[in-house]
Order: sequence, then C-alpha cells, then structure tokens
Amino acid sequence: MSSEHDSYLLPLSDSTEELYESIRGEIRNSELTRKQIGTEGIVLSLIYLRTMIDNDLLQRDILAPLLHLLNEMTDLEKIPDVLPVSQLDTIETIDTAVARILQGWVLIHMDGFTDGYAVNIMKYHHRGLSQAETESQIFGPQVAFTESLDINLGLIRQTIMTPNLVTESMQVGLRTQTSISLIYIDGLAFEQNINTFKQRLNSLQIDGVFDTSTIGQLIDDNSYSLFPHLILTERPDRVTASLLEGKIVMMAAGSPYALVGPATFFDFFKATEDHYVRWGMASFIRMLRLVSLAFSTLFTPVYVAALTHHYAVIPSALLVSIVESRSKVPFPPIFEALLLEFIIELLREAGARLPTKVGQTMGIVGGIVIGQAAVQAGFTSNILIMIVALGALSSFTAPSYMMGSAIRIVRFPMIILAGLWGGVGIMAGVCFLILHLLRQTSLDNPYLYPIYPPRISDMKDSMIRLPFSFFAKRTQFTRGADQNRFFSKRYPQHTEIDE
Amino acid sequence: MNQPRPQWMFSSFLVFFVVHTIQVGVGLPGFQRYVYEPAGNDAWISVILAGISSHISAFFMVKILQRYHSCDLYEIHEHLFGKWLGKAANALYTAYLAMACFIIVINYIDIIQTWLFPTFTSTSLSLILLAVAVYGVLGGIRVIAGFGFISIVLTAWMALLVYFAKPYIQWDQLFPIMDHKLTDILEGARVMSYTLAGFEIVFFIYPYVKEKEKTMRYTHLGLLATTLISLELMVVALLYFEGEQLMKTAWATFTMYKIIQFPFLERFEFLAVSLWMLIIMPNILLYMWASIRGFRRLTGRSQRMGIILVCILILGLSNVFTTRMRIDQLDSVFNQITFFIAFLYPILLYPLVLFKTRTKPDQSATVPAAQGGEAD
Repeated sequence: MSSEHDSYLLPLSDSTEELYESIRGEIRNSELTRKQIGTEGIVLSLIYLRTMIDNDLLQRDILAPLLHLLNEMTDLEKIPDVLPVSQLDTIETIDTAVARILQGWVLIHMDGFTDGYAVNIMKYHHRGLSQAETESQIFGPQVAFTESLDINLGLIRQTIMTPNLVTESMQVGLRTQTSISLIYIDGLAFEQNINTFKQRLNSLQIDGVFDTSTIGQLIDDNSYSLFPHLILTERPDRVTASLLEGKIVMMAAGSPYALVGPATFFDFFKATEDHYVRWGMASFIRMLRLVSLAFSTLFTPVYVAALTHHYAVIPSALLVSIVESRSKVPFPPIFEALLLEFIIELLREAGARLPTKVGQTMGIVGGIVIGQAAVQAGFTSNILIMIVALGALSSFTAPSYMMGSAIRIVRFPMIILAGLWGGVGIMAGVCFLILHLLRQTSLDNPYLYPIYPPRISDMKDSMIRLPFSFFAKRTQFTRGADQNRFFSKRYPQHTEIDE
Repeated sequence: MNQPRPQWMFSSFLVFFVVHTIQVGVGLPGFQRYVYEPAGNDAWISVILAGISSHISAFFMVKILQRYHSCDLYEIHEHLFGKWLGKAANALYTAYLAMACFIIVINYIDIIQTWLFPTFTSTSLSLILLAVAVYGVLGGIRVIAGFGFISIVLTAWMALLVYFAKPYIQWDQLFPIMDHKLTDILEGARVMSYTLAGFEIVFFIYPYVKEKEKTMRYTHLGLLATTLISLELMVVALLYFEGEQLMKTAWATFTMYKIIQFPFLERFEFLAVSLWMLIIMPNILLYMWASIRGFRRLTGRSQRMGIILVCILILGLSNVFTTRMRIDQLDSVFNQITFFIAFLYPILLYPLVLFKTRTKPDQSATVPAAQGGEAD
C-alpha cells in the first residue's frame, strides 16, 4: 500500500482507538467495521471490511473461540492456538494491517499491545461451475472456467497431478493489483518461452487489467495485427491438453478465460473435440474449417470481381441466372456486397448484445425479413444473399471466436480490392495476407508453423489429425526437453493374413 | 564472414523452393515463341541444353561459395577485386538485380493489361505490386523464403493443367527430330537463359542457409524441377500449336489454359493470370531484397532507403515501358545480360576464386565481416 508515507511503517499503536482512527484515515471506506468483545479491561477489537469477509466464518471460527477464551485471557499469546483458521499472521506495522484488511482479513487487536493478529476469512464471490458457452462441444468434458482464480487452478490441478506442474503467481496492474498465475509443466515447457512470457508480464506498466484478454493484447507479439497470437480459452480440457504439449498458460483473477501460448495459426482452428472423435472425422472437420477459412475470405470478393470485371469467367448457363437475379438491382456489385456484409455484421452484433432469447429471435426473423425485403425492394440479388450468408456461416466454424472475428473483418478490404482491381486485387490481398501471417510470431515462435518453417512430422496434428498411434512424440513446436508421450511399439502386429 | 543470427536462418531444403520459385516467373507464360524462332520443332532440345547449362553454372556458383565460409557475392567481390574494383562490381550486380526486379514488374503488368485490364495504367498496377512487395521485404529473408515455399505449394498444380490440351495435341509435330542446325538449337538454348535465370540468388542467400553443405544438392534439385516444367510446357506447346501459330502467340502457356472449362468456370486464363501474382511475387521480393543489400553495402545507408529508391525507380520507369514493343526490346537486352551474369559469370569467376583462396582453402579471414542487418 502507500509505503511512501513513512508513518505507516510505524508499529501499531497500543491504543485500539488510535489504531482504528489511523486505519480509518487510510481506508476511507464506510464498510470498515470495528467489533469489540469483552469487558473489564480485556477488550479485543476486530477490525475488518464488512463486505470482504465471510460472516459465517467470523461467527463460528473467530468470535465463538475468542469469547470462550476471554475469561482466561491475559495476553495475545493464546489466540493462535484457539482459532481454527489456516491463515494467521502477526501484524506489527500499520502498513501491513491496512494491506491485510483490504484483502479481506480480520485484524485482532487488544488494547495495550503493539502487535496484533490478522486472520484470513475472505469471502470469494463467484458463480458456480457452468457449461462452456463460447466454445461449446458435443463430446468431452463440458465444464468451463469461472471467475475465481483458485477454482480455476483447482480444475487444472485436478486433471494434472504431477508435481512438475508449476504455478507462479504475480501481481499485474498498479491499482487493481490483479493476481495472475503462470502455469506450465516443468520439463515440457521450453525455458525460453517461459522467460519471454514472464518478462513480458513483468514489464507491464498499466493501472488496471480486468480480463486475461486485455493482458493478452498487452503482451502480444504484434498488437497492430488483426489476428490473435495467443489462444484464449474457457475450457479446462483445452488448457490441460496445451500444458501437456509444453505450452504455457496464464490465468488471472476475475477472468474465466485462460491465455495459452505460444500458439500457431492452425491452433486456432483446432478444438479439443478433434481428439475425442475418431481421426477420420476429426481430420475431415479440420479440413472443413480450413476450407471455410478460404471460403469466408474469398467467396464474396470473387463474386464481386467476376461480376465487376470478369464476366467472361462465368459459364453462360450460370451467367443467365445471375444476371436474371441482378436485373432489378441498381447498384454495382461492390456496393451491393458491402451493403449485405454490413447487414450481416449488424445482425450478428445485435444478436450478441441482446438478451439470449430475444437475440435468437431477432437474428432469425431479422435475417429472413431483411433478406427477403431487400431482394423484393430490388436492393440486392438472391444469389449474393446466399453467398454472403455462406461466407458468414463459414467464418463461425473457427473454434476460436477471436479468429472468427478476424476472418470476418478481413473480408471487407478484400471486397474493396476485388471491386477495384478484380482478380489482381484479390491476389494482391491474398499475397499481403500470406506475408502478414509469415511475419507474425507468437512468443517469438513462428506463427505459421508447421507450414512454415515446414515440419512434416508435426503436420500430424495441424490441418489434419492422424490416429493416436502417430502421436508417440510430442510436437517439436514447443521444444520441450521430454519428447516422448508413449512408446509407439504396441502389441506385436500380425503381418500375415489369417495367421 | 559473420554468421547471421540463427533466427534469420532457414533450413537448407528451402533452397530448393527459393531457387525454383525465382526461376519460375514471367518467363514461363511466353518463352515458347522465342525458343521456337531459331530452333523450330527441336525447341525442346534447346530447353534441355539450357537446363544442363544452368546446372553447370550453378555447380560453379556453389563451389565458389563453398570456398568461403559464409559470404555473399558482395563480400566475395570485395575480397577478390579489392575495395574499389569490388565496389564497382557490386554496383553493377546491384543494378542488375534491380533491373531484374523491374523486368518482372513490367512484364507482369503487361500480361495483366493484355489479358485482364487494358485500361489500367502501369502506375496503379505497379503501385499494388510494390506495396505488397515492400511489406514482404521488410519482413526479411525468412519471410521471403517462406513466401516462396507457400507460393509453390499453392500453385504447383497449375503445371498439370496442360493435361487439358490432350485431345488437341498432334504427336507428329515433334518430328523430324534434329532437323535444325546445332547452332540454331544452341541459339534457342541461349534465349532460354531469360526464363531459367534467377538461380544466382543463391549467391546472396547462402549465408542464411543452415546446413550449408547441402546447398549444392537442393540448388540442383530446384534447377531440375524448373527444367522439367519448362520442358513440359515447351513440348505441350509444340504439340498443341502449329508452327506459324506458335510464332504469333505471345503467351503460349496462358493461351493453352484457355482450353480449360469447368461447369462453374470458363476462361481459366483469367484466373491463371491473377494467380500468377503468387508466382511472380517471390521473384520481386527476392530480387528486391538482394539488390537493397547491395545498396547498403555500397552506400552504408539503411536498407529502407534502398527500398524507397528501388520503388521510385520502378514506378518511374514503368511509365516509359508501356508497349509490348519496348518491353520486348528491353527483354532481349536483359536476355543478353542475364546470359552473361547468371550463366557465364560463375564459370569465369571460379578460377579467380581458386587462385585467391589457394593458401587458405577453407576460410578467408581477410574478408570484411558483414554488418548485422536491420531488414534482413
């Protein structure tokens, strides 16, 4: 706390009255409570913040034993012996007293003594565990993190019981003093990655952070990029899987999201579910997501380019239906496309802001009503509505919401490029995008791994997912010391038919 | 002599992709006509001969580089010729690389203007190309090599598309074999140097290769891939076009792409011309990167200055060379230059290098160390 005031480094006053006054001078908070127990000279004072403590614990574990003790009380010595609480400190300066009270501890002081005890009975306000909503899955564990750091750490620890699971805690935010935890498995995580992560967190100079996503943006490799460089997840199973891959996880108090790094571009198209279903299906879904990435960024631009500049590429049979559909539309394709993309984004954003039930109704009804009305009013063509809707749908297949949003934003410059320079414009955009992705790093690791730098052995779990018998070695991306997951030699294979 | 920092270096097998990607560029869409002119239906022999000579030149090039520990051509020049003559050689080479960059830009712009946008000005098109190129060059050689790799992965299938020409080919057009004079066939091979040039980039990326002893292998594999693709396109063009027709076809490869039709796509060459940007962009990136390194070595100024200078030059000159006639003239001049620089120069340089490094064959501590780069 405000250690620049030398006076607060002074020992506690032996008068409770004076002590209370000086604490009140520091914590100007009407919830500050002083409770006095005892009579006839032996007066114990409890000083605490009413809103920060657990009242039941105060009654049961502090007041009751203390009242019991009062009769034979001569000094403070006995207090630690009778209090059934796990965290108890001796307090000697006002500075620490104030700090403890702010963290939800109770200061126990007795008139005539220059030291006191502080007991931790802070009440954690949190909701119970619930299902994952932004990363919902069909198979696998359904639980999501909550806002309580301790519960979240417990969820991780319950799955990975090795003593090598290291958690390091630190404080971020000069004013919020948010506690954050850095979690990794010693021996699997690469030393250099841990140091980079730690060093970036330590060099943060900011007054307050409220969510891991903010910290993620602050310690990102390139905060100007549209694309996320660190994974944000609410799923404990994703975190534990990443830890076993040698990645590093950061969690902050008050945030239900974990920050996982280093990450590659393809990590954002993986879901933990891909490991729960069989490999063929998983590979198919992975490729579907990557195809929809291309689809989402390119389909509308290609339509705009073809109709603005390259009519000739469309076969005549198809051209007839397109022209028929566009015959009433008075706008150039680029304007038409931008308008529809804008409407889709509008619906998405309104759906996200409105209460859940209203939002869904709004989305569907709004989509149909606006879509049909727009066609009938001659604002846009049916074919373009279909294309734009498919593009939007594709962008939602990315398991990471951040990546999905980035893809949707990329479409707009692409459409403009397509409208201005046709196919050449689209290709310029694609080249720029590839170069941009090549230039990105995640905690100083290459972002496009394992495509570039190419590493065939690690493609087993990127664009596709091979059967688990291929997973004997850990990914080389994180460069952990221990590369082995299991011995790939299984039961003896019969090579001969019918033997 | 300074080894670049490890985070800038790349695996040796990427040399294959860099060599292949820089060779494949604006030459392939239309080289058939120029080779057919002297060599006739024996043009495919010219392609093979040109391919073989590129292997020979590359062999000497890598041999030169292996005499030094980790040097690029600029450092080797200064070691061989001394300070001032070395600087002069470097200046010439830098100019050559910048010119190659320019040649690629104007030829691609010409292709775009012919096939897609006759009304678009050269300035606007070169602005788009250069904007993307500058962003890539600022990323350094690792990013550029990566782009070359991805560009090949994304476009390799286009080499197979000439299969669509199968119903129209006539095998007898290849015969009689060897009915042209050897000098004509050799002249055809010399014309190919414009198409096959580019592998001299190994002179500059060599310090950034991780396992340097494998450079030779991957350079040759890259050359082989290019030779095979050129041969394929040449042979199919010979079988598909009649002689006179081929002479009048400026971009035979794209014209052959016209055959391709899908239920959802006609006029495939429109797509091919656009996709070709993925193929020529690594060339622009690599040549620009190599030339601005020369610029920094010559003037000691930052590479960003070099980028600005190269871009202004290309933008300014792209307005001068706007007609096919002028571009063709420039191409044939460049063809002569590139024949000398890419194909002959390494062979001429090799004895000199042997002579200069005869006392210390493995290392030469006299060569000044390269400064740590900012954009490399």
